[in-house]
Amino acid sequence: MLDPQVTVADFGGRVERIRPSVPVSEEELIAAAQDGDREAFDELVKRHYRRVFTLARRLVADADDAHDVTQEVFLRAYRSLDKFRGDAQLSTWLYRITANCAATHLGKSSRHRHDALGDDEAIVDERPDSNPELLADAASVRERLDLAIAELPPRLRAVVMLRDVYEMPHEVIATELGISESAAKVRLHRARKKLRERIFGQSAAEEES
Amino acid sequence: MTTSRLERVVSEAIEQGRLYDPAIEDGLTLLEQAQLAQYRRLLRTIRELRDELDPVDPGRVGEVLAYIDEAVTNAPSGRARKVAYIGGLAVVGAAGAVVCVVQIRHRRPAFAS
Repeated sequence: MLDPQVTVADFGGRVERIRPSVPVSEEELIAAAQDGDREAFDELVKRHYRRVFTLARRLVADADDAHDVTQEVFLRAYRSLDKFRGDAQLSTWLYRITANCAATHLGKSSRHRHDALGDDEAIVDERPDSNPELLADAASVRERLDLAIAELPPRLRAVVMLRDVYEMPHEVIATELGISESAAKVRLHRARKKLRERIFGQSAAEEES
Repeated sequence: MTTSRLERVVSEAIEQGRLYDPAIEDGLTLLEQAQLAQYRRLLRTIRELRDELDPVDPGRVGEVLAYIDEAVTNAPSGRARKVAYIGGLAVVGAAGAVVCVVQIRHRRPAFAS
């Protein structure tokens, strides 16, 4: 019999028990989930889904692929939650798993196409908003940044996202992407340069030098 | 100073938290100063992305939970895997013993006759 303090609700096709809205800290949820409390883990998924999905979408570009990556992230997190020691925030730990899952996903995609993507090869984006003329006309730096990021090759996009947006250390980025730290730094230089050139354009003097 | 060297200067300044320090402009040409200003604007804008979250369909969270349920239900537990492994070894070992016994018995009549 269910606890009278607990209500039953349909959540995305799953019938779940929902406890009254007693604020529960993340640390308490993590401890409970590590002790095998599945409801506590589900609550952590609900709290972090959007952040993880957003990073996954930024890394793999396609929303459906990002959802697949997000599923894999939470499954891996569920299976290895006992290894989470709490010396970093849970979101940071999840971001690391996301980076790793996205790299695996992109690796599978490139193998499926039988041609590995080089750093300078962009996935052809046929959306109208990736049209270079539209890019030049984009009103704000922010709009141009969004378009320029979408045009970056996945390998460059991954490092610039993880470093400049999520502020991950170089060694962590290198580990999760399966590359050397120096390769991660080189990719970061190239990504920033490409973004700057794409957003602000190359001046005549720059092209001559 | 080449553009790639400017990128290194920018990277070092970012690592040291000195991107907006006017001192890093010392020795830069006007063109490089202009590019540095572009990098500063780029970094400022890109960092704003961290606080922006994509809209998501609430049903997607339920799909993730169902996916975990399915994976956990279908995957054998660690103990079950261990039992299956030991059981497999036992079967192979027993089969090997039977083969040895059969071969020995087949050889014995030759010596007996």
